[in-house]
Formats: sequence, structure tokens, C-alpha cells
Amino acid sequence: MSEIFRRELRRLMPYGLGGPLLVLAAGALMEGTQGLTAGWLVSFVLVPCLLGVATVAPDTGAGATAFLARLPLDPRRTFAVKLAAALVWLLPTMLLASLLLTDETAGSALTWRVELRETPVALLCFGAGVLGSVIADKVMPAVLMAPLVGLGALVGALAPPVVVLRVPAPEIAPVLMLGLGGALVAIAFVAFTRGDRHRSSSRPAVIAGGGVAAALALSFAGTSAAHAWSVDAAVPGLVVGAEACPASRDGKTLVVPISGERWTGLEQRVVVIDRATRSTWVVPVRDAEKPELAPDGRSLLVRSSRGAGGWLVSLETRGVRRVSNRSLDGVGLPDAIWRGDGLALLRRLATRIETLEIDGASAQGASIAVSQDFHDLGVVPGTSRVLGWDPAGIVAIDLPRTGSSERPGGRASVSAWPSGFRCVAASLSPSGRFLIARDASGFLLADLAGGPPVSFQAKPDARVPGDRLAASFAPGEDRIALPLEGGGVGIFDRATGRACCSLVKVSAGKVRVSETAVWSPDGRLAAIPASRSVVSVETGEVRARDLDVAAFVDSDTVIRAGEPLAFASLRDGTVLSRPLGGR
Amino acid sequence: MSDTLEKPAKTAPQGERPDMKSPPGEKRVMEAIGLGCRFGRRWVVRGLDLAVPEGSVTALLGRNGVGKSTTIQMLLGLLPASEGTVSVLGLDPRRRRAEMFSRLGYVSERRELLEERTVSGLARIVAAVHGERFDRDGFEALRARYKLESGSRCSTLSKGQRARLLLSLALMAKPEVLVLDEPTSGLDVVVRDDFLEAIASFVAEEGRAVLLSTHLIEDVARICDRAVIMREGAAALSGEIESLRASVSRYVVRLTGVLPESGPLGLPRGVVVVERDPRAITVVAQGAPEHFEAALEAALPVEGIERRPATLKETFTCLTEPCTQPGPGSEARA
Repeated sequence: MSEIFRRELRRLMPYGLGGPLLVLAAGALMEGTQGLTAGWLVSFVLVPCLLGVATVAPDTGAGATAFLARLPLDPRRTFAVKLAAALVWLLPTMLLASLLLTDETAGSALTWRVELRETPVALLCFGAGVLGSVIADKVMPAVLMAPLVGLGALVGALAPPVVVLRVPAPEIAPVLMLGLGGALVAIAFVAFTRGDRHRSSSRPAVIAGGGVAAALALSFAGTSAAHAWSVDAAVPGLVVGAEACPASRDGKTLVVPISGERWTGLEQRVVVIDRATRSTWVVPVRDAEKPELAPDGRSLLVRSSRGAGGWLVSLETRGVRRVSNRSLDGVGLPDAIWRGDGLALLRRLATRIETLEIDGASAQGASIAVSQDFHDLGVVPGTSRVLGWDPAGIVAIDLPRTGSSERPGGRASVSAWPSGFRCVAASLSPSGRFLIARDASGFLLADLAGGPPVSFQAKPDARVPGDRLAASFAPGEDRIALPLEGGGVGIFDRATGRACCSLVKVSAGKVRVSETAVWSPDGRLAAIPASRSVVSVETGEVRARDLDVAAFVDSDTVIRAGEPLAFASLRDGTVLSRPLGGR
Repeated sequence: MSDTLEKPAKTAPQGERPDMKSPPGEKRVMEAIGLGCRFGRRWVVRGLDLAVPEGSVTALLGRNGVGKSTTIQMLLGLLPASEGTVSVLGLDPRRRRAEMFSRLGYVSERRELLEERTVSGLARIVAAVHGERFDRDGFEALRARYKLESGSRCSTLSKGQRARLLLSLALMAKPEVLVLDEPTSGLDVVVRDDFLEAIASFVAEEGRAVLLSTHLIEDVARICDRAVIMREGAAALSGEIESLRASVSRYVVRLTGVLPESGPLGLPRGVVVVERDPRAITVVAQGAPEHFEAALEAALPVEGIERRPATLKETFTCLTEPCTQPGPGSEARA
């Protein structure tokens, strides 16, 4: 065997010596980053790949593989000797590269630094070269095939974890490359020993193709299993997110977004809490955010944080239906219109309002033209009516189920703003009865049921952007939290427009549209997340709490952002324990 | 050795296959039963039964493309058989190929070498692989006799030199069986003589055997004592050369009329025309003479028929004539 090994060493000498020479040439002829890049490519991509190709293909093309197959040699040993000789010649190139391709910022250029992180790249390229060499019976086809095999296998193996598990590619790529490199060499080993490489035959290619397919299938199966496992296993480690938790009108159902960094990346889930039974259910979808409960509390719309639609969840049957956003451009899901018989999604464009009916399996759209100066929309719960506002007044639009209107139409004026009021932002109350609007100098509340408008003696915080006013109505809609000038949140009586308590100071620019205040279900307490304070509406007392309030379960119990939801069992249903008092 | 002809069934099921047991006293170093190989849906070889007895030089005969090289590759485990069983020196060549090649020498049709090596360098590798079994002195003697320069690179060797080098390497490893695939094709007369002489010397020693694939009848006549004749991917006949020859007769048919220069003659199946002129034709056929003479008289205006023993070449021509019926080369039936 030593004679064969010596022969292999001698045969591969041009490749083995050429590698270091190319690295030196790259360093000498190119400067700075270019030299480093070229040297890196030569050392860890080109030379390993070529040495891999040189293991079998040149011998096969010249008939040497056939000659060796007719000697009393075990083909497994023959292949092992070829691999060993190639690896022996690979070492000088990699060691030289480790010496020369040192990051200049790390210190001396001659610092001894074995580039362990480059080993997976070199191994993958070597494996791809070896496999290409076994598949093709001539050198040039093998050289062309090697990158295809390597890249194809890498993309095939990388796609499932990156796409499905959302594992960051830079983190998993080295592990995958290492595994793939080994797998490709192993597949080449089988294809060589079982594939009759000593004669012209498609057998090695068939074996290699099957092997790569099996490896990718294994990778896919592993990813799927890890995905299935991580969907459940990741939940106990997640914590309540610092955002408002929607509650049903009857207060029985509370929806809590939870999130956290796990080994699979950022995990975002939604927990549905039945306050009557204190049972919880984790909606079995990932990347879930911004949950929205239907007014009747029977359905839940969960948006995808990955910009690809969302899910419609039935809280009665616990069925989850994907809501595609393909027909509506843009990121995430737009506003939802809950109707008694289903859900419509609404999106406002510059001069149009588009709706998409999510009704059973089919989705039908409608489009209505609106004027250029049209501001935002508010959906009147339980109807197909949306309210819009512009500087002149408030209009109502009844959305058709299908069809489109090119001319501004289908609109009826509800009321005009009082003289001198130039609306720049507004927000509709949850019931759809009140519209709170602001201009540059103040707030105005319009009662859409016909009552007189109410002015508020406070100046708005003009730094809060958007067409939608950062206002938060208490559950009974008798009080409103509004962001004010100078950095603060005020609680106001809806009927009189007077302040209920002293101004709660917040850091400038902290108030967000969705989180001006979080109200307790009975409306007695309002938490101001931006100030980490809780306000008693009845007494006007402001208590500083060193926490981000996520939601009130009731006036005595708060779900605190950043705290974990502990679950007794993932299989038999989940029980919220710590924030609800030790259960 | 058996004097009777073994006529293997071409595609007969296992249960109907002729008895392939070796006659008493005959030891077979190589045996294949029901051997078949197909590429895709096309059968190249099918239902081949073959035996190489110890001490024999067996010729594997057949026209070009009939599957001789494929058969040899299957026999040596270099190509997986699609069906059938093979035994070489009592070993399964597919599973114990390395062990088999330590006792078997093979000179392939393509004559592959390690091109970058010199003659002596190649011999060193082969000697290292075979170990003490390889006769280095014997190789040097043979190399000198065949006029092979020790320092010549294999890539510079001529076709004849490559054949002689391969034969030298194979012989000096002291094999029990030598398999030669078209070893003399393309060689000049002197080299061919050397080659055949070496084969004859090899088999003269006890316990050795040679399987020689060729389409050169002269080679067969000189050194072979048995033959397996392949026709359309299967063994049409196998047995001793003289028995095969005796089974074929040559008929010179003188005619009362004049035959057209071309066109079908309506001869019975199995009759092969070897010469044709307006007043007489010469045909060869295997089988009972009375049957063919009657058939010829029925088909042609016969004045007289003269029967003689066929030459080996005529025997080969007759026995390798393709069948008119569908054979193994047609679509796969399994």
C-alpha cells in the first residue's frame, strides 16, 4: 500500500505545490483586501476543490482506476489512500494561508493563527471536489461539477433551517458545511466502491445523486423535527412582550403576545387566556404578533411578523387558518373588518381603499376610490362601514363586497369639523361611536351618534407622528388617555373634556400610538407604559411601578412585560401560573 | 473432459436449465449460470451458462457486439450481473474481488496502465500489491525478452508493448487463471506469436486455466481446446473445439440451373452460405446431414451434393450466425 500512497503523493504534487504558490502569488501581486480575498479563495476554496477533483477523475480518465481495480486491492483502501494523499497536500496550503492571511488589525502579520473557522469551507469544497471527481470520469467535467454539487448541497441543506427555523445563516452555515463536507466525502466513498468507477458507467452518478438526495432529505427531516420540537419547546422560555394585550369586550378572554430569543432565533407567540377558567392556550403559529380579537371574542386575527399575511384563529374550535396577503401588497396585514359573517382586510392606498373578503376558502376583493387628502380610516365594529376623516370633516364609507369604483364615491358626510379646526390625526373609539381628533392646537371629540363635539383643554404632543391619533379609550369609553405637549399623558373625562388626574410625565417621544395607556378591564386603573406608572382614575393617584405593564387581568393583577408565562404542561393545555398568583 | 456438446438454454427458467454439473474428474475454475446483464431495458447478455475447466484454454467466441467483454467483466466482478450466479476459483467475484484478483490475471481489451509510471515503476507497484507471490526476476527476464525498456513511461508504449507488459505483469503474479480480452487484436505477427506462446506455456503448468476472448479464429485454432460460442448475448454452444467442428458440415451443392446473382435462395433455417456462384453454392450447417440434404434438394435445383468437414472458420461462421427469432438483445422480457 505504501507504493500506492507514494504514487498518489507524487501524482497530486502539482496540485499540492501549486496551492501555496498561488497563495504567495496572490499576496505578492495584490495588496490589502484584494490580496486577502484572493488568497482566501485560493486557500480555502480553489485548492481544496481541485485536490478533491484530482483524487479520482484524472485516474479514471487515464485508465488508472481500471488498472488499480484489477489488482488485488480493496477499493475502499484505494479510495482511502487517495483521500489521505490529497489531505496531506492540502495541509501546506491551509497552513500557509493561516500564516499569511492574518487580519492586520489583529497584530503581527506572522501571528500563528490556525483558521479553524475556515475549515468547514475547505472541507465542503474538498468534499464537493471528491464527489464531482467520482461522478465524472474526466477532469474538466469534474471541475465543472464540483461547484454545482457543493453549492447545490449547501443551498439545499441551508434552506430548511434558515427558512423554516429562521436560524441565522452565518450561525448554522459552518456546522452544515462541516457536516456536508463529510457527507459528500462519504457519498463519494460509497459511489467509488460500489459504483464501478473503473469503467464507463452512470452507476456512480446514480449512487452519488441518491446519496446527496438522501443527505438533503435527512437534513430536511432533521429540520422538520427540530422545527416541530422547537414550536413546543421554545414556549416555556418566552416572556410577555411590552405591548398591549387585547381583551374581549366581555373581559373573559385576554390575548397575550409572548416573545424571546431562543436558539432558533426570535420566537414570537400568542397566548390566549380564558379568565373564567384561568386556562391558557398557545396558538400554534410562530412569528405571531399584533393579535386582534373579534368583537364577539370568538375569533382572533394574528399578524405575521415576517410580512407574509397572518392567521385567523377560531377560539371555539382552535382551528387555525392561514390568511394570505398575496393579493394585498405590503408588509403584514392591514386593518381588519370584523363582520358577523366573516372577516375583511382593509388597506388604504393613496387614492383607493381596497378590501379583501376572507370568507371561507375564497377571497374576493373590492376597491373604492377616495380623494387625495383622505386621512386614515377607522372601522365601525360589526359593520361594513369605515369612517374616514380629512381636513374638512368626517365621512362614512360602506364597503361593497366585490367590485370597484374608479370615482370617489360611496361616501356620505357624517359631520364637518367646527370652523377653524384643521384635523391632522384622529382615532376612533373601540365601539365606533366617538372620534377623537387633534389639530395643531387642541383635541376635539366628535360623537357620531349625534351629540355635541367636546373640546379638551390640552395641547397635543405634535411629535407623535402619523394620521392616527395616539389615544386610548377606557373600556367604557368614558375616559381617554392622550399624549400631550411637553412629554406626558393625560387622562381626560370624555363627556366634559376635563383632566381626571395630574399629568403623567413620560420621556419625550416615548408614547406610541398603540400604547398610550393600558386600561384595566373595569377602567379603574390606567397603566402608562412609557412612564412605567399606573394611574388610579378614581383617586387621581399616580403610582410608579418599575415595570412595563403588558396587560391587566383585573385591577389587582397585572401581566408584566418581560416576565415569563410558566406553563404546567404543554401537552394537556397550558396553565398560566406566576403572574396570576402562583397557579 | 466431456466429448458431448453442452447446449445451454438461452432464456430457460431456472427449473428447466440444463444440468451444469461438471463431469466426473473435471474441476471448474470459473463458472457462470444463467448470467445476464441489461442496461436499462436492453439485455446485452442473458441466460448465459459458461464453464472454464482447469487445465483448459477456453475461447469465448462471438461476433462484435455480442457481449463478450460484458461477460468477462461480469465474470470478474467488475460489472454487476443483472441475473445469474458467478463463481471464480470458488469465490464470488463481486464480494471478494481483491482476493480473486490475487489468484487471477487479467489483460483487458483497453490495456489500461498507470500512464505516468515507468515500466519498472509499474512493476514495483504491482509487486508491492501482490507481495511475495510476484516473481520479480521472472518479470525482468520476460521484460528483457519482450524488449521493454525499464525506464520507458507507460504513456509512451505502443499497443503491442502495452499488451506484452500487461501479460508479463499478469504472468509473474503466478495466477491460477488468466483472463484475456482480445489480447492479440492489433498486434503484429511476431508479437502475436510471442503472446500465444506465453499463454501456451502458462497453461502447461498443472492447475491453470485460460479464458480467451477473441474473434481471431487462427488464435483459437492454435492454442484453444474448448470454446464457448456466443450468439446474441447467450451461449449458442460450448464444448471442445473438435466436437464443435464435427457438429458442422460443409455442403458443396452443384446445381442443374443457373442461380441469380443475388436474392434469397429459400434455404432452410440454420444453413449459412459461404460461397455462391451461378452453378454451385457452398453452405455450412449444424445438425444431421440427411435432414439438410433433403432440405437443400427441396429448395434448389440440385444436381449433386458433396459433404465435407467444415473448417474452424466455417464452423465459427455457422455457429455465430444471428438467429432470426427474437433474442436477448431485444426488449427485456422480465
